[in-house]
Amino acid sequence: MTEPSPQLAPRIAVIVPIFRHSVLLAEAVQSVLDQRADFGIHIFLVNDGCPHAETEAVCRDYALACPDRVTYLRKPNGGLSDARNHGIRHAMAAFPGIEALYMLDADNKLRPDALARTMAALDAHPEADWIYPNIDMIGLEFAGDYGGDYSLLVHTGMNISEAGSLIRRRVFDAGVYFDTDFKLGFEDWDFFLSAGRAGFRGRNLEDFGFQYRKRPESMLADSARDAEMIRGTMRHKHRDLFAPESLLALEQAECPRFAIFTADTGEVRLTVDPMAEAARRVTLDCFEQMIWRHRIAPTRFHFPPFVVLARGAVMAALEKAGALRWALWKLEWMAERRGVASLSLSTSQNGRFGFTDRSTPQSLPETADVLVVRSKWLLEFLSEKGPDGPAPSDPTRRMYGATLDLRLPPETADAASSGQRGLATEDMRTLFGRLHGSPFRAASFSGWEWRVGDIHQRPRAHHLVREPFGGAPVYPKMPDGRRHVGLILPLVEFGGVEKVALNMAKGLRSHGWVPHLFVVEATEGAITQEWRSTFESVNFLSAADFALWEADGETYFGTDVPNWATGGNHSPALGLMGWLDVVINCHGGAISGIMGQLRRLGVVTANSLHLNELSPFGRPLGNTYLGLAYEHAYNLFLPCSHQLGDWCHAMGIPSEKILPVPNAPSFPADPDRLAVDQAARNARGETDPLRVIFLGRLDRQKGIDKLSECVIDTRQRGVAIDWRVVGKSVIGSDAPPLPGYMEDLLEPPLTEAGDLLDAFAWADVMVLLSSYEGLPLTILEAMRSGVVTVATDVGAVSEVVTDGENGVLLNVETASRDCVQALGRLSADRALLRRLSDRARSDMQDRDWQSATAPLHARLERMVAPPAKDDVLTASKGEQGEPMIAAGPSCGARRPG
Amino acid sequence: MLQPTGPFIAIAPSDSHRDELNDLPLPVAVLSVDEAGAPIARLADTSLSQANAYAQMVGMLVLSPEAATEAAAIADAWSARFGTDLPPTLDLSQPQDAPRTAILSWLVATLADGRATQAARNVQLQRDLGALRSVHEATQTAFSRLETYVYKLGGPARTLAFQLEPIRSRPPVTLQNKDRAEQRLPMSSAGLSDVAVSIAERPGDADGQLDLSLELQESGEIVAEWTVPAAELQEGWLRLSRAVSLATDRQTVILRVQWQGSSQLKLSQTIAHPDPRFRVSRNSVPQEAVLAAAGWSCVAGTSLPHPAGAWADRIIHPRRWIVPTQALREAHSASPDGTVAYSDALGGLTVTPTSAGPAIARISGAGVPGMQQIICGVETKADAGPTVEYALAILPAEPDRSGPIGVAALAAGTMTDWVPLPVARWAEIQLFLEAPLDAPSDICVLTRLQEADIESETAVPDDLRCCVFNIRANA
Repeated sequence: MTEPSPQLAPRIAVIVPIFRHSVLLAEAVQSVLDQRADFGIHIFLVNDGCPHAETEAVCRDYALACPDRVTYLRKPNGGLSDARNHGIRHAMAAFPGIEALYMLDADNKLRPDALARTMAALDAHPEADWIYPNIDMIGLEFAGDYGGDYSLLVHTGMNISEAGSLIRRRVFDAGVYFDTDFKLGFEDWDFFLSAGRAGFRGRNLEDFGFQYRKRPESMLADSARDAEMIRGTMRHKHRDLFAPESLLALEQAECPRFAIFTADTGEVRLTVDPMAEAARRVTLDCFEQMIWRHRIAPTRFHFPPFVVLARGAVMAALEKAGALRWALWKLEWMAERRGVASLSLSTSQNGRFGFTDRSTPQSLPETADVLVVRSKWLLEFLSEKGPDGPAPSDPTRRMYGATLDLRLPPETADAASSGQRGLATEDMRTLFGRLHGSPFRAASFSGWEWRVGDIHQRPRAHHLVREPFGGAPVYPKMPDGRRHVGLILPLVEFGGVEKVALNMAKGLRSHGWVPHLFVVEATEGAITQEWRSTFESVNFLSAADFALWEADGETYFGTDVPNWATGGNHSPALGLMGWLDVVINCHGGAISGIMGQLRRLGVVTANSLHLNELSPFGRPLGNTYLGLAYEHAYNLFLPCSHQLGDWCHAMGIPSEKILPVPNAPSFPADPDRLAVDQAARNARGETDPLRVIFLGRLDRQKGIDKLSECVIDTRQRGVAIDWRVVGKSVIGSDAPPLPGYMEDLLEPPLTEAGDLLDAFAWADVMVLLSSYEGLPLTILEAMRSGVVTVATDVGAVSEVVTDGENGVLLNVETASRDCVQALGRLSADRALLRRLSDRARSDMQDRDWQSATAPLHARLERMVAPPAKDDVLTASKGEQGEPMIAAGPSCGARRPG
Repeated sequence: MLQPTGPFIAIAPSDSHRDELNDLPLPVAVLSVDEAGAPIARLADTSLSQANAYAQMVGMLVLSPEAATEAAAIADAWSARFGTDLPPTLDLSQPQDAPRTAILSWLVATLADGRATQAARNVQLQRDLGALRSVHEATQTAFSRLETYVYKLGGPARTLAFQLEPIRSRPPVTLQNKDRAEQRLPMSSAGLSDVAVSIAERPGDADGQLDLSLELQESGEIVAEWTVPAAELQEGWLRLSRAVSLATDRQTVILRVQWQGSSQLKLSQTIAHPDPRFRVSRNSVPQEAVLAAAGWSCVAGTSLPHPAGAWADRIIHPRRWIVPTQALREAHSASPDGTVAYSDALGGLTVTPTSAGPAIARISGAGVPGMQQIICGVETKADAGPTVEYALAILPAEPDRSGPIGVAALAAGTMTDWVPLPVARWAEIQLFLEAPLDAPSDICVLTRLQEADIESETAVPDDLRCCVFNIRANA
């Protein structure tokens, strides 16, 4: 037997797995034998242990009658996948020159030019790895259009490639085969997802010529009954493909969520991430064609589900404020519900950063800075009154949507010049007029395609990305190779927790992390320039149902378990934060409820703890106990002191999960300045009044009542003390009324580092008579400046203050009396004062946040996966290597960048 | 890979070197197989794959006790490999007087068994074919009866499936000599019966022709072809019909146009489309235009009376025609008396005489070359009234059709006798031509009162309407 001549050597092998289709099989085989092609086609009939003798007879007859075109393979029953693999392996071994393999089920058939046409498509598109058909059914009549650009993202949501596809040999050479574990169906879907993960991509051929026999009862009908179970199996098997970052990368490359129209440049960017350099840019002409093409055939042509109108300067101002991505995320959420959402920027009068969300429908502000419109809603509006209907004179008058007022500090709000502000509504009028007047609009009122558009997931591709997050909008941030850490705070004012969070962020930043701020309860905050220069982005959860501590009675060892933690709508929070590498909860109360879900998404979760709060009766409670309740949901616990770390361990947290990040002074200080201040302090006269300062909130926790007693007592005793009381109430109204003499002493709070250093430079002693504390930052700052601390021994104070060595510790029960005595002693013994002062200074040397966060950085580096690379999961490439986004060749799209 | 060479007998490895094999010239090849049943050698020292061996192995021959043991193992391996039993085994491990005879007998018996099985299968297949033929014939008969019934009711209608109107403000698509154009149509092929394109400007010169065809994209099949001489091209819709509507197999339809002529031909554009697939291409170059077009459909796979005024497909010549309703609407009066008007309420053309004289309706272009028998239904609709006489006539198509015609002039040409019909009685009038029409013609319908009623000046009731329905023709 000689080798076949090269002219006859087949380019295509057709694999026909057979089980029970004994009679229809002949039609399938005959349709292949009837193929009109100028190249060889060899059929491999794989009898998968069919119990019908007729199958054997038919296969033998064809093999014997057409020995140069048909090979008959018999095997024990192993399932459809096993049968296909058997045929594939045999074909590739038998014909090393085979270029592509076609899977033909025994009850389907092909039109005479199908394989020639499909092979020509493979030849014409070397980047395509398989060619898949439309589904033209026989039997139950239906014709499904599967046209349009291939999208791996859409393919994760539904099978868009029928098994009857022509597949290049290189897919199998790479080891991608049908999974024999898929015996209940969808094995073809799984196969193509495996191919997609391996970097292969398909292409539709409209006039393929494939005919699919559809019956009410079939293997596919059986699969439909087990669909959810099979899908779950597939998601688990391909979890890296279904991982949120993969889906997001595919969305960016294939089905971008936003069409950002900047009227000042006249171009449209198609992107998920508004700050992505690789966003595709198209002209307005192209955009116009895209939107009408999508309207006519939404399952064939992707169009971003949201249109954004904003001038470039406004986008830049939002970016400078670190709020651009958050704003788009928020507006997407609002537009999803209302059809259109607007954002108006304003300069906050008091330098604060905040927003007001008006979700009840309002007419569009005439001076909106940003508009986000649901494309579907826009198209319905554009299509009113038929093909000949006139355009409304002012369409914006009929646009009722949600509005977001964003107040920014002057240095960011004013970044957008007045000439570019407030023009989004006008830009909408212009855009609407152009789209309504488009010559393509009329075509959208006629039917053109006789097949039914069947890729129903294409118009809702953004929902596929949302699935891991429970359906909520997904933060529009692409992996960029950096490591991102989110710090969660309930609010941003001047409290200690906030200062710790800010400094922890600075410390991590010094180690190469990119911090992001998430405020979960407040809608505005004192997010100063210092905050904005530390955190790359500022984000607000702004969930109407979120409450930090609201609870209906469920408690964990006496601490309320917030309602939101156990039963709230977590999806928005997940969508907002699920992209981070690390999340650090800084006393965020109910937000603990999402930590387990974030962990399952691959986010490293950490709980930053500061102190045990006390009930009015002195029982410890608060975020520490809530942390214990959610211990399993956290990878790490970050107590602010070693003492608190010991407490965590004692309460049952494994020591490996506890990583103290000891507090350090919350603002930098020049060592030379400190030395000068100390010298000046030491040069003061022995008989000068002792300078005593209090810095902090004027509430019971900070012992303001004890301080008042102390002040009056020292005066009555004639102790020569110059008092300064600096501060105001911050949390609630838990502050006893101040006596008049205290009001006379009261100075407004100091927030600037220079003012604080000046205050410390003035003082000899700082008094802190708190009833409970963590590790107060003011003590560390005072000690660094050489100010002797006289404080109650609560919390972790004794971790840094050693009585008689570098400060004075007081019993909390007798704090007032003891404080007076201590001050008297220090006033009388200036040598003691100096000794304590010098020691306090030296103890604080080298205590900073970079050092404090170094162990955390090292641990997180080990725990976080390497940053995402631009791999085969991130992009489908078109012919010119551009990301494949459906747009006609006449669009004239410009290359990104 | 080597192709199987034909049936063979397998022997176990232990038997592969036996001398008696050389003394057993057999009509089939003998191949040694290994312990897994895979052929490893043949006498000509080439090899064959196990999978191909499956189809070609006739059976197994055992010539020694050692081979018998090996054959058992081979049978197990075969079953595991193929999920079925090893083909029949002939055990000659004990000494034989005439081994060749035994082998030949066994071969004959094995092949005879196979032949009997094949014959039984062939008989079954023939039976199946016969049953399919019977069902097909019954279906054809039933369908034919259904078609006849439907024709008696007026025939299946060609229904407008889509119409993309010409847009005058958009420049026409201009075809030069030998230019080709290709336009995808927005409908599936199932039931398609007619298409139309819009001529924006007729060619300046009368020479040349326009060739049009329909191709089904998925199968590549050409299903209709028309040729229209340049001299026949007029501004407006050019309708092209098939005598049989396309079958149920739904495919994408491509209209191909080729112009040959010394002057340009301009085809109208319709609305713009953003998807290049639906734009016309000229000489394979996509254009920024969509041809104005229309399509009609009917019950798939049925033969239909050809709409008069439409161009007939070259592939299947029509043998039946029907005058479209539009032509009836456009009929005009060709007599000074009587009234001619289409009635939507009655669903027909009314041609009502007065006592002063007959009514004559002239339907321009309704007579198409090939027609030889023209038939129409008639009825006088009224509560009561005089008997009305009906007649049909043929006139050559003339440039000026607007003037009155006398009955005498019609009678001198081709006209039926007058057929009297009382009120509320239905009848059919048939005009038989001596030869098929060889040129486009006009059909005239005439009505008059009977002489007695004319002389007595019988009043024609106001509600009396002489109706003409369903004018059709046969070859």
